[in-house]
Amino acid sequence: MPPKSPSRVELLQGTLDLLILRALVLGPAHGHAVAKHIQRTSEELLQVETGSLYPALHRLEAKGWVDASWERSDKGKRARYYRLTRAGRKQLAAEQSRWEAFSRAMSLLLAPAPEKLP
Amino acid sequence: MRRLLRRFSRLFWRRRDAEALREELAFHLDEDADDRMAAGAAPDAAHRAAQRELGNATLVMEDTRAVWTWPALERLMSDVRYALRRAVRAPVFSLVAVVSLALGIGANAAVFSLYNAVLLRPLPVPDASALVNLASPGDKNGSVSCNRSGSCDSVFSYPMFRDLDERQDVLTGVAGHLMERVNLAAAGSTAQGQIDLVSSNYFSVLRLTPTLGRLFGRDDDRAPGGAPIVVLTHNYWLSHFNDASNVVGQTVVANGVTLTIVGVAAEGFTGTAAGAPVDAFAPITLRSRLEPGFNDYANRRSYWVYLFGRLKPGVSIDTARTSLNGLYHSILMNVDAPLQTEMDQAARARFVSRPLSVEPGAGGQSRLRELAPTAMLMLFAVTSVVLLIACANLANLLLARSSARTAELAVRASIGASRGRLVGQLLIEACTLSAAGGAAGLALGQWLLAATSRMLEPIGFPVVDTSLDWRVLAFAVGASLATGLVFGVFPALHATRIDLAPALKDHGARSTGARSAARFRAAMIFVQMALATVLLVSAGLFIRSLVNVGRVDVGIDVDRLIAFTIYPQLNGYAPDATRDLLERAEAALAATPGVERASASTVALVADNFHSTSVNVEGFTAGPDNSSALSQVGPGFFKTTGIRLLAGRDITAADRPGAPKVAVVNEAFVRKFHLGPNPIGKRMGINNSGTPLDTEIAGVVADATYNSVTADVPPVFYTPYRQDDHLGGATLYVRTSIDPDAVLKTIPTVMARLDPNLPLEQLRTMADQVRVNENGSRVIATLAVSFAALATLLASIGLYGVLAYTVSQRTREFGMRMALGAAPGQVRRLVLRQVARITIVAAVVGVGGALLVGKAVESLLFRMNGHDPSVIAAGVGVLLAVALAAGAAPAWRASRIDPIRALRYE
Repeated sequence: MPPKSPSRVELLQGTLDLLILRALVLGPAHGHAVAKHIQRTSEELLQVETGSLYPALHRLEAKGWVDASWERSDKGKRARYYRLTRAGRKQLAAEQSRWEAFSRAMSLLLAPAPEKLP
Repeated sequence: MRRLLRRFSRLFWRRRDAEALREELAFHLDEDADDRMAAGAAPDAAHRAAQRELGNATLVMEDTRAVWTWPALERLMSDVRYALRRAVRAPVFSLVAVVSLALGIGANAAVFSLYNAVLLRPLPVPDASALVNLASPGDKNGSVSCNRSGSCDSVFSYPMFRDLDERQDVLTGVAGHLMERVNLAAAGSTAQGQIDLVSSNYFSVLRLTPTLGRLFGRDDDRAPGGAPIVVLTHNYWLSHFNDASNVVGQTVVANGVTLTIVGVAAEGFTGTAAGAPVDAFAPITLRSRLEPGFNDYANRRSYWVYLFGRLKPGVSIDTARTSLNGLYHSILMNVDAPLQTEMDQAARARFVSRPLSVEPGAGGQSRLRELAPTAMLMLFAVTSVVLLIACANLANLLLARSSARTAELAVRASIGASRGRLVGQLLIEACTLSAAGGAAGLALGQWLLAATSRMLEPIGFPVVDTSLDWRVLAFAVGASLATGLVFGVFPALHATRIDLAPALKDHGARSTGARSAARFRAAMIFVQMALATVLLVSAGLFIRSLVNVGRVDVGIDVDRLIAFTIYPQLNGYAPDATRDLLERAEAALAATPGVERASASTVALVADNFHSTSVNVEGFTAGPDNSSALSQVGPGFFKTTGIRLLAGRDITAADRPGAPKVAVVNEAFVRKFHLGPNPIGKRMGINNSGTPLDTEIAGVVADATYNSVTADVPPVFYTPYRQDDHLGGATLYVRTSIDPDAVLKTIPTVMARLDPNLPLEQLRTMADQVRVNENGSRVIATLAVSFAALATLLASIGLYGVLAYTVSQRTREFGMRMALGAAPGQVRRLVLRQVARITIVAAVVGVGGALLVGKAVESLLFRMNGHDPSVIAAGVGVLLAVALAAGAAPAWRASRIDPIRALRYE
């Protein structure tokens, strides 16, 4: 029963969840690392808002797609590490194929020169 | 599942969780700042930028937190907490609201609990919903006997029962049973008991298992009269054998027949008839042993067995009904109908086409279940009126309070709370109150019910299990919430229809919409008063009726008179032995210190017993009705009971078998059979209009109550019991010279010397017996008065509350009037006039309703009609008095208003 109140989180929800899950495929990471990974990998095109990142991470945890635990970071500080669960992997696969279908549809619709509608 | 669990564990977002999240965010900020410094920013600027990037940390925290919790639920809980705080801050208001509702909901919960126990609660057997009750509505030519096991439309003949059970294939079995009252002796004491005579498959159809020993098996009901065995109920085992485990193999004696205990039934199971628990189960084939003279096992025209069955898995009740009806009709057509020789064509057609009813039987079958709905409906009608009045109080109180809170609500609305949010909050406040009222009411209702049934059980009130179960709980919760929601809506909507500017400026002294609120309040008071009038007048009717009952001269000298009943035949006494025992009992009792004389009577007086027969009277031409009530009595019966002898003589010891037959008749008998001024010496014949006139009328007595105080005295003739050949039992009347209570204690010892195994029934003083007989009227009157008092109390609380509120609202106006010269008395009258006006109009409407009620209950009233003007006047008088009393304090307060302060007020 996820909350329904429209918050800023909701706006990015579909894609942000997918991106976070994808980032965690590489291995456990804390929130900052996830954000940095998305930013870097997207060649800085996508800027992850911190205000949405943490609610999203916790939401994924609540859904059981990621697990979280406190560990020491590379620099020796306590950080909260997130790792993909089996359910999370399944979810990632599902969302990925959905996104691919969607993006293919979008590019088909947007790419060709405008025609007259029937 | 794990997900849900995890969520629940965090449902109450704790400080620890908040700390963890703060640390996580702090770590993020540090990392971000580190990155920025690595890119060349100054530490200060890097931290600021990171901070900026994060944005509003509190909001992030809130958003994250929302992931883990249900915000709606949290808001609800904070609203409830707020409502509780407010309730505690206004203790008088809350107390009045909660007590009102507790009384209203309590009364309803008690009635529902009763309803649940009688009609909803399934039998304590596995998968009770698959049970079905069979019934045989329609004409039956032959003898029909029925009792508390169910209606007279439900009995079958024994051969029909066996045919159905053998030939059907839709039920796991058809079980037959019949409850029977017996003298049951166990472990040295004899008492009246209930035995359920059951077929051998009774327990297997119910799917019950024994607590001890075994239940019945196939061979236990093979031959009529066979297998003298018994299965005890758990209760009986507990109370008579102290749950001893070696009970199997011991014996109990039922009606003089020794039965060997083979087992103890499952705990909580006391038979299938609601309101009539049994003590033990015996094979149905024992009926001929327990009831000498009974032998209707092969008689297809004697209907006495109650049937039920269990649907086979996968068989629907409709399938079963169709299949069983086919079978039933073929048996009726081919076997039963040919035996009905005297039927004409049409009657035979009706006979063979009557249906076999197959109805859901999860709750078992009993007369009580068939009679209860009407009584329940009446009770529900009254208790819902009480609840309605209580709800009107709640609504009025809420309205008054929310008007006083206009300022607070206006502030909240102006800083952004939506109307929906405010309405929701007010509704939650209403529901919090009603939930508290409901909880208190449930407790009150359970207590009331337990107390009432303890009080009523001795007079034959059905014994039902009214303990709390989920249905009663659900009812109470539902009633409370519905009450809170329905009666909270108008006040909430009203309170939130705020015109901000004036409300804020004015501190809510006069909110907009005041007129509609006033109208609503007046309407509520009006409804309360009108309903209270209806209940008051009805209560008046029942009280008046009870007074009439109490004024009846029973014609018996009830002071220092004791009565008790014995039934030696049930212990195996033959008529001669019974006669002998009665004579010895009369002598033994008369010889007891403190006793003047004792006489027996075969019919107990004032105990709802009615025996009658046709008579043939000298000089009276037999009409369509030549019946008379009768009783066979011992020597000196009229002297013992104090029934006045008007002419002739009492029955004496000389009226023995062989002596000339004599009778004493009452005045009603003389009138009915036109015996004229000199009945003594005239002759009559008993039992048939054609019999010879072989009995001489030896005396005439005054009319005395025969079966019931509220019934007209029927014509009665009394004959000597010593001249009767069919004596089975009798009631002994004992006239004492000292306080009857002292003798009451010695009677069992005296009787035990004659036969220790003979139970004494209804041993009580005659005064008590008369009271017991009047109990029906008394219970109705008590209930009516209780509910009327409750309703009036609630209505007066409501009236008081509203008046107190309006007076405080009109402080300014009253002050102004007094400043302009009005005397305190005038102001007081102003308030009281308002009370009188609303009360009188409500009373008029209420009397209209009461007249309808009076018409409906007229048959329950004794020697009066349902529109007795003095009762109506009294009811209205009580209402007016209560209303004026409720208005007195507010009126007095109004008259004490200091004009100076009032004008400065606000």
